[in-house]
Amino acid sequence: MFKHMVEDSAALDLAYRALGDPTRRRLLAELRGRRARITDLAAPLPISFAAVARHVAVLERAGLVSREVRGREHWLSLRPGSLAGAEAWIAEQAAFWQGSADRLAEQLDRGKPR
Amino acid sequence: MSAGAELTTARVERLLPVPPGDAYDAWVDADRLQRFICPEPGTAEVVIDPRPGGSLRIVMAFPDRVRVIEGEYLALDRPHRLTFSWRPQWREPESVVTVSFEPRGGDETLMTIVHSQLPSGSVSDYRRGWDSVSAQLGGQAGA
Repeated sequence: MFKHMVEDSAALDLAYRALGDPTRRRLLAELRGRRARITDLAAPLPISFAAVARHVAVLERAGLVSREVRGREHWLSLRPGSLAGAEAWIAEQAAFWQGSADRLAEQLDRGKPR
Repeated sequence: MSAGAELTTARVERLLPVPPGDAYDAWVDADRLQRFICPEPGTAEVVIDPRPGGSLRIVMAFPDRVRVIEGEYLALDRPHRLTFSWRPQWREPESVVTVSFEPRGGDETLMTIVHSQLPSGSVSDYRRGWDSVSAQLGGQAGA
């Protein structure tokens, strides 16, 4: 159950630090299924272009987002598979807590007078 | 829940055949907690101090390995919810577990377990907050 955690922990650590911020999660959600420029990402947000650029840099360092430079335009996209580690973590935690909840439910059921 | 929070959150719900207070009590009683916390076929040993800022330590023994998890209780609000930090001893981002209990008809409880990643720093900020609260309480109690 825990084997992925050990192998990928350094990459996961970086990814989670990147994912720990609500603005960055929103940027990732925006990039699901489409490419965008920093200008596009910044438009609906109440923060500056420079602030968005800093968040994007964190996402790039964590390997979640890639940048393609075309002339003067920088196009950002979600790196395929980059969230797999995070999704595996979530699946493993969910499986763990399912097991705990099942055992607790069984024990409470047994203790119940019929 | 903020946009994209599902990227960092595992969530499990279960209907339990007891009222919320009874379900809550199972989580803060070491003997009972160690009988359900660990996945089959492992066994757990649990040492807990279920009060704000108190520590928890869970040692899970599996046929081929041992896993140790440490954490602190961040908030306890019987019978509604409890929150604790979750720090596996092997390296992994620190996270937080919140278990909440909602009454359902006929003496039943909907238990929701939410296990979330937090920005690094959030847990230690929380802990500093509790440290100052317990220091104040300690002073009042003459400890």
